[in-house]
Amino acid sequence: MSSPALEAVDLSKTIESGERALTILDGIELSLNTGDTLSIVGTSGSGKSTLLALLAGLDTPSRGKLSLLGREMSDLDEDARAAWRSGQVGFVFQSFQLLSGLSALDNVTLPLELTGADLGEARETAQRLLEQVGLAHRIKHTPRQLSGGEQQRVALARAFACRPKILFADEPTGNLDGATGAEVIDQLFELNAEQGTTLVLVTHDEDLAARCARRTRLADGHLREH
Amino acid sequence: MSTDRTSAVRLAWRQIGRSRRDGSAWILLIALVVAVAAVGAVSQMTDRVRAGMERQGAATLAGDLELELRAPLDEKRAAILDEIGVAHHGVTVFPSVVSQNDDEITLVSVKAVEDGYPLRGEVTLRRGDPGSPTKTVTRAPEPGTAWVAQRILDAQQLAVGDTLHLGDARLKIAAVLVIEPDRGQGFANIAPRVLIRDADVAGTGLLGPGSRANYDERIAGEPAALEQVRERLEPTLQPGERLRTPAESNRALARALDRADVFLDLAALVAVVLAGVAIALTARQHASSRLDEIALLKTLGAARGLIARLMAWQLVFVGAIGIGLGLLVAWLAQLGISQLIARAFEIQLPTASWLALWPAAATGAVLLAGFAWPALAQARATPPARVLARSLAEQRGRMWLIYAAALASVALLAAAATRDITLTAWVVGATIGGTAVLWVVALGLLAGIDRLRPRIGNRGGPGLRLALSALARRRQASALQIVAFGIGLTMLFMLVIVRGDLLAGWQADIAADAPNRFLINITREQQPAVAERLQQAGLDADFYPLVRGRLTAVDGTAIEDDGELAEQAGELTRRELNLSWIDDLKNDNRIVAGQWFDADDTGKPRMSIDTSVAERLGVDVGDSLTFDITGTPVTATIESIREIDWSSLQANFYVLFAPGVLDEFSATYITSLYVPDDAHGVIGALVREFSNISVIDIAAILEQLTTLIDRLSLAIELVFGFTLAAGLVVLLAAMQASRAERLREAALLRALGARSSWLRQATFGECLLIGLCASLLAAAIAQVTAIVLAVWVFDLGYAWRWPLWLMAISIATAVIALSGLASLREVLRQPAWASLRASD
Ligand SMILES: Nc1ncnc2c1ncn2[C@@H]1O[C@H](COP(=O)(O)OP(=O)(O)OP(=O)(O)O)[C@@H](O)[C@H]1O
Ligand SMILES: [Mg+2]
Repeated sequence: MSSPALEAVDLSKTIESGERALTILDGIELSLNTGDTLSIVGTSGSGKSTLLALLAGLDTPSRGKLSLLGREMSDLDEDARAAWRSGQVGFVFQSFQLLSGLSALDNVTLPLELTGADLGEARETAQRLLEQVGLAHRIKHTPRQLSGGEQQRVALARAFACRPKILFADEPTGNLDGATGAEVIDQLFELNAEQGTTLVLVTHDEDLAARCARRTRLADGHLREH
Repeated sequence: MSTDRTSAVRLAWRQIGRSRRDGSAWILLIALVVAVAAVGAVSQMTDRVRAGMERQGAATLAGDLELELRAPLDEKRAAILDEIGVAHHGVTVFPSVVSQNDDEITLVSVKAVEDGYPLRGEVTLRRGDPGSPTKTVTRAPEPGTAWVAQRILDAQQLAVGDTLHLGDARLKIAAVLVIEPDRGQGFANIAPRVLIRDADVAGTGLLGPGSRANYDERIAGEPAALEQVRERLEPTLQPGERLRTPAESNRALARALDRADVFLDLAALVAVVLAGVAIALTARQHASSRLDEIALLKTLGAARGLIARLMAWQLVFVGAIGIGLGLLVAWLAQLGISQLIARAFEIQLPTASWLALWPAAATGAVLLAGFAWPALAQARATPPARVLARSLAEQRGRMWLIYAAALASVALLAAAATRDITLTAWVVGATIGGTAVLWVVALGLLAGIDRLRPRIGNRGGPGLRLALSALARRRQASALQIVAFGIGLTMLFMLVIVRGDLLAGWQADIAADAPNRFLINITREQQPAVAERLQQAGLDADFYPLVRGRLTAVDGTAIEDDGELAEQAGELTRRELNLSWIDDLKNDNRIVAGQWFDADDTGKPRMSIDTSVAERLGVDVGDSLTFDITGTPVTATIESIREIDWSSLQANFYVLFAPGVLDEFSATYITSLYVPDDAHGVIGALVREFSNISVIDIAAILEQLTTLIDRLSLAIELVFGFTLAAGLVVLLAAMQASRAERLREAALLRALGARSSWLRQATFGECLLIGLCASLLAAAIAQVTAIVLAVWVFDLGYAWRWPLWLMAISIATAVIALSGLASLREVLRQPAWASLRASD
């Protein structure tokens, strides 16, 4: 397992806000092999979510290069990156980003629909995933009718849906109690073990960080491994 | 002010300031501005167009009001008119003969006018032969001169510059009179005209005691002054005297004006309904965005009262800003429109006052209250728990309240705007019925799409698949959008179709082959020969027999003996009426009561009368009328009452007897026909062969009507265009209501790997389906409503307008779909992360 799943060189993000530029990330260097598990910790506002979005190809860096699953991202336009992500990259947003008009089931079905899967099969898969995160009885409910933790689990099920090669998760257990959190963590690492999914996790959770093979801390725009 | 109240105001103001960024307040504001501007501009415009039309009508009377008198105006009443400050002058019309050519006596109608004639409209004159250029003037002939109709010149072999012998007077023929604005209509004024100055009347010696002359006082002034004239002169009217507006004296004009008037009302109504749709859509969104904030305030300990005041003040602020801006836009639009109208009608209109915009301001206020308040009140009832656990579903139970309030306010505004209950009832009915139909069909359709989805699978590509799944997922929201667009489009389509019917109806009135000549005085013996000559020349003509008789009794009561009845009957008894009979009901007649004659009635004493006669005499089916025909009384029972479309310019009769009843009396025949320019010779030959036959040329009247209708059509088009534009803006504003959700979804789909082309196809497809569904239903509902309006309100023929449907549907669908695409641009421009962060 030596093919790099992710390779970041001098990745930086500067935001022009008002008169002075705000440098959030400054020369991030990171290399991940397929099947690696990485945790990122850092204080609030240190730029963890920003980094995760950059690594997943959701955002463009101000400087530096990123190669994702063997493909140079900086050469690609928005569309080509979306196409590359589709079916290969999973993402759990810190604020879940569930569609409020859709039921839990439809939210999880969505990424499968995008890959062109058969609708009936896609629904079955989604249902199974929701059962797996313990929401079998809530599949018809919309996000507004679900608690924060339940929404988080829907977001996780959605990220699992395409069996991604690499999965980015922003505080995946942030809203969960110890027991439920542990269950979810188990599922994440099962995916890693069974399918070789590369995991990149932002977390405050010591237990979760401890289970990752590689641990990093983001501070002052720099990423340090320890 | 108590501190509590102050804090509500301050909080409300701050919240408005904050919502600068949340979009929904913007949309509410924009919808309000557009609504107020549309209603304001349309109502302003209809007012001015109405004023323009009235001026146009005034031209046909050469004044705004006509006071019919039996003698020249007395000094007392002249003083009243002078005191009010309106322009006025007298017009005297009397019959005479001209006989300067030895073997020809020409019956003429002399009209003597004062300086200042015509008060409205213009006179068309010609100096040379027929066909030479004409010119228009707005003055009376000089004393000592006369303007004379071509027919008199032809018959008497006179020319411009010759001297006309009129009674004892010798007048110089200064010009050929081509068109005088107040020519009158129909074949009442059959004799050709001589127009002279009042000062020359005495010199003719023709107006002695007992002579038959009509005296009119023509009056012109501002509407307020005219109202005053009516108020003060009406009580002074003696039997036989009448005060009439142009519409009251010219039936074709009255009908054209009436229809145009109703159309303008309809246009204003459409603007109101469209505005309502936009506000309803946006207020709902605005309210749901307020829910969280209200819940938070509650958890922070705000009392219900405070929150209610907060919401109220918020509405007041948004309302004040929105209505203010809307009025400003309306006023600016109105400035431009005035210019257009002034040019179209060639008149200068007084500038509008701000006060005249009050209906628009009221519309804004009522719309805001009717549509926005219920949604906000619902928000007020939000439990504070919502902020702790958003798991509590939104309350939806009171939605019916919102719709009821919305409808009530639309009905109120519609009634206020038009003061026409029938029209309002139809429009409100169409709105309710349309909403129900749209809602049911939309839900059914969406359910059907959901069913079909698995079967279509991926066959149409990911774009179509995403479009269908978006529709199915947001079923309620999609249905709401279909209903909203549907209602808006129904209104617009209805306007399009009614406008088409209206213009087509008018065009039919002045169709190229509308009759332009009447032949009268044809004897029973001559009739077959005349018919044959006309047929040989390829001219179509229907002949109607004509017997003259004087109305003498109603239901056996002699009119002479009953003063009240005599006054009611007025003109009907003073002159002989043309009585006729025909087998089949004519196209331009419509039975409103009773039944048309059948074979059994032949020879029985039955008759059919015009509605105006029935109203005047206060008679109904079953009553009887007695006529004196050459000394013989003939009594018949009224079997039916007809409404005559006088705008057809065909020969028509107030009183028709059952066939066979009048056979014993000697009848003459009359026909109206269209004579093309190259067939003049035929008529000339006919008149030479049968010298007793008279020809009446109504081409000039037709021309006047054509000009009038051309201008009315232009006015209608102006208002129509504006309402259409305003409607589109309103619909686009409504489209914005779903924009935020659409953007968020697009951003997420992109993060999940959707390509731009898919998103474009999906949005295009979704909007296309919504647009197609809404516009198809709207076209169907609008067509049905338009037919109902055409038949019941406008009294017009109607047609299924397929090409129009096709055009309207495709334009509406394209606009909706393209505007959906346009809203995607922002998402497609930036990385997914930026959109997601922004939408959070
Ligand atoms: N588009 C933007 N405009 C302005 N500031 C931004 C933008 N994106 C990120 N920032 C700023 O960059 C910093 C890092 O943001 P980020 O969301 O990555 O933090 P984080 O480490 O995920 O924090 P938390 O643990 O609280 O989620 C913050 O101070 C944020 O305000
Ligand atoms: Mg974060």
